Amino acid sequence: MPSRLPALALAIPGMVVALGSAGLGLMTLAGVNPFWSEQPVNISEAAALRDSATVLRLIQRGEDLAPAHRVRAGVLFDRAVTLTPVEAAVAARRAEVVDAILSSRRLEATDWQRAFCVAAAAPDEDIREVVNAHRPADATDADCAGYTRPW
Amino acid sequence: MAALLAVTMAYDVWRVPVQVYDSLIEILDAQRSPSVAASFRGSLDGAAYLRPARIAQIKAIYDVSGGHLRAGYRGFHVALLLAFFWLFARALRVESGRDAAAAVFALSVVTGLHTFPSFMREAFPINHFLEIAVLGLAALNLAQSRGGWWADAAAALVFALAALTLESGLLVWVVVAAAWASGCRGISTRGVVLVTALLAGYFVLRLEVLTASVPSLAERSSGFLFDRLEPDELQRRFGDAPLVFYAYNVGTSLLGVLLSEPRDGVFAAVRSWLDGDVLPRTYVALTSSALTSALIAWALWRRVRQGGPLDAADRLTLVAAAVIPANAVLAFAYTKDEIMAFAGVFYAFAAYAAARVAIARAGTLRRPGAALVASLVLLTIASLWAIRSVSVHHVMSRQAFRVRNDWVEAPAFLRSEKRWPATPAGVALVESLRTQALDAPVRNPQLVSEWNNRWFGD
Repeated sequence: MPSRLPALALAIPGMVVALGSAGLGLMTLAGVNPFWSEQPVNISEAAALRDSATVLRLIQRGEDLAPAHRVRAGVLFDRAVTLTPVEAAVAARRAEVVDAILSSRRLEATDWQRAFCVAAAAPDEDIREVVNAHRPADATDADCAGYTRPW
Repeated sequence: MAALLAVTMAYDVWRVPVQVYDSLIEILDAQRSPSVAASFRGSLDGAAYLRPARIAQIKAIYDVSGGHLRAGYRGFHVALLLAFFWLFARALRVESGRDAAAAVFALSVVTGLHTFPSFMREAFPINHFLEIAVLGLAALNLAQSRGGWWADAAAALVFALAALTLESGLLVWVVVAAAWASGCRGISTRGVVLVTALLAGYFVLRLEVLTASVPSLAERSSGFLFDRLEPDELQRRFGDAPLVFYAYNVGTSLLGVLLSEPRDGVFAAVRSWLDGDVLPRTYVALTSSALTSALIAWALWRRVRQGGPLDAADRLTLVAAAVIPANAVLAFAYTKDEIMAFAGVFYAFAAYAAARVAIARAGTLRRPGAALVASLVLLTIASLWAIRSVSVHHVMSRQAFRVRNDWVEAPAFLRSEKRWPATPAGVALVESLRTQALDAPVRNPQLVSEWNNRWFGD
């Protein structure tokens, strides 16, 4: 009688995946599917994590661009830092996130001036170009003398 | 097992928002079109591609969805995926414990192969690569059936729909012809002649309708050796000798299915090795594919040497032997993994047949040590494919993050393409899909442990 060992050897890994799929289905019903569980982040963390969509969603829900939020250790640096959303996007060197933040609503001159100072303190030319492209008509040149980047 | 994989993978598909690129403009066009028939006819005017059924289907789902576009398009994608698993499992014709073990392995191969995420990742807004695979599997199932006039008629219908949806749809003819040649008579000789006549009609229609019969080198970038070459570079290198480029595409497309390298025409693993940074997932992919292709070659050699009448699994191998190279030839102008996804399905059929031969042979080895070693080899191969199969969930989660973020730039994209809707209904459509995408809870891949990205992915 032929041994069943080869058949089992070939089938077991696939069966494990199938059982895992069943487990995944149960976890989905319980709302804890590991592939689809959204970890809560604040707006600055979302900006640092290149998640423009969450940044935009939070702004649409009324988040202010001015306050700084704690960005947990390991996201940008080994230590936790407290940054505004624009600072977090600049620190992550993500011009497209800066663009998403500045495009999200009509910019006040003071919002733009703050963003200008952050961009001026960073080495990325493309980020400065994005910020300049969003300059409101009524915005005067920003005075960045008192600004020190917090990272 | 097929049902479990189907349901969990269908859930992955369901969670991805409707995509922006190669999708939103098509949906807006469907909104403007007065009818399905108008969409069908309109797609033939000055077209670069003969794909009227594709445009008609997008319009049909738009109309049927009654404004619930995400449910309409994603729901159709889910239905296609469920049909895919059902037809694939049905075509295996499992009748014994040995068949069942080989079928479990084949399911791991089909879902683990690097071409499989092409069936799930993107949708334009319909995933036509998946649709063509489903139609190919439907044709195969018809060929395996007891037949009758209805099977011939259904085969003709399936071919017509596939051919008018995407150029890869022509592979349905290869499935029909190869299945018939291998001895499947569910589609009769008359049916094969009918489908062949439709194939001839397709080429006549193509010459009538299309402005260019062969895509030029200047149309899109393509992989070559270790890089992607832009159209002007392709023109500079191969403008005088396009056949060299076409031969490269056919050869690399074939190799890609058999060895998981090159990918999209680029020898990515070799490049990673030269850079000294080969990811574990690359080793997993290369090893599993190389061992499985070797297993297929060994089983084929053994089966030919044995002789005797063909069984259902032998016939699957013969169909695969026709479909895989035919698919590679179809990718002559432009190679990418998505185009070879159809061949990937039939590679899994060949793996199924090889697994049956391997189980039978290893099960009758007289020396216990030899049987154990053979079983360990099979366990290793199956485990590597299982890892690749699990990767699909990871790939889809990343894709959802990417698509959701694309929606942030959607208005700017539409304006840059001069396609921002001129009507309030069009604006409402964009805003509604954008809001749904932004509100979709999606895992951020940056917050996932690094080992995930090193072991899983595409």
